[in-house]
Amino acid sequence: MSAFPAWLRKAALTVHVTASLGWLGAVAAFLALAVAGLVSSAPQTVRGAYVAMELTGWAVIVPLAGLTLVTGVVQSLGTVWGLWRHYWVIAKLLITVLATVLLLVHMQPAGHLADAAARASLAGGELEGMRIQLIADAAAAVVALVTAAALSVFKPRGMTRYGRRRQRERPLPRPATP
Amino acid sequence: MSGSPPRPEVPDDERAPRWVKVSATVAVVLVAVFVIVHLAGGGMAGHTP
Repeated sequence: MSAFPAWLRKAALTVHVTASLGWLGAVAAFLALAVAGLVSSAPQTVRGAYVAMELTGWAVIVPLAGLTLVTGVVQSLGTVWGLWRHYWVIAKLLITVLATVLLLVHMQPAGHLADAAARASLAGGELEGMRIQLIADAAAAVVALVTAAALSVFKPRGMTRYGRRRQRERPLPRPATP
Repeated sequence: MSGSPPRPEVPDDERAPRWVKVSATVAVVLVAVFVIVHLAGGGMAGHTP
């Protein structure tokens, strides 16, 4: 796949950065709701928090995660960075894939808590383990997404064997730092 | 008695950087911790339909 023209590269980068940082922000809001749901003594706050978490998850976080993954792959294939040539790109890909899979898996307990909250109050410590788990999962997601963002900015050195072979076969200009 | 010929050194710039090796090690440890915590907590309760 040949490199994108400059305007397309920048447009794809804009979508990718917007989606990935939007994902990070939405997960931070999800974390705040999860904490509020666990520590608040007001039944309405607890109920609202878990209902909002399920809504935020499916309406915002899951679409942004998918968009981040797709635009990341498309962008890497359309630029000189490639998908398998540099270790930092592979690291970001692994983080994004793993975070997306775990997100989809953990939407199940989020939905379970939202259903329980909609039916009755959770202020009495009901399903506490699941509520704590969602906090831990959201916190871990924040760390993972910040790590991915840092990789994008710092682009630590290191080319894979495949990347070095491609470079020897077809020397490319040094990638421009966006 | 001479030993076997020395293995050719891999140039520094062709080895995986240290950050890759450290990150991979950390990732393996985290995955192991994740699996152990989930199995110790009763499997994947709440994660499946």
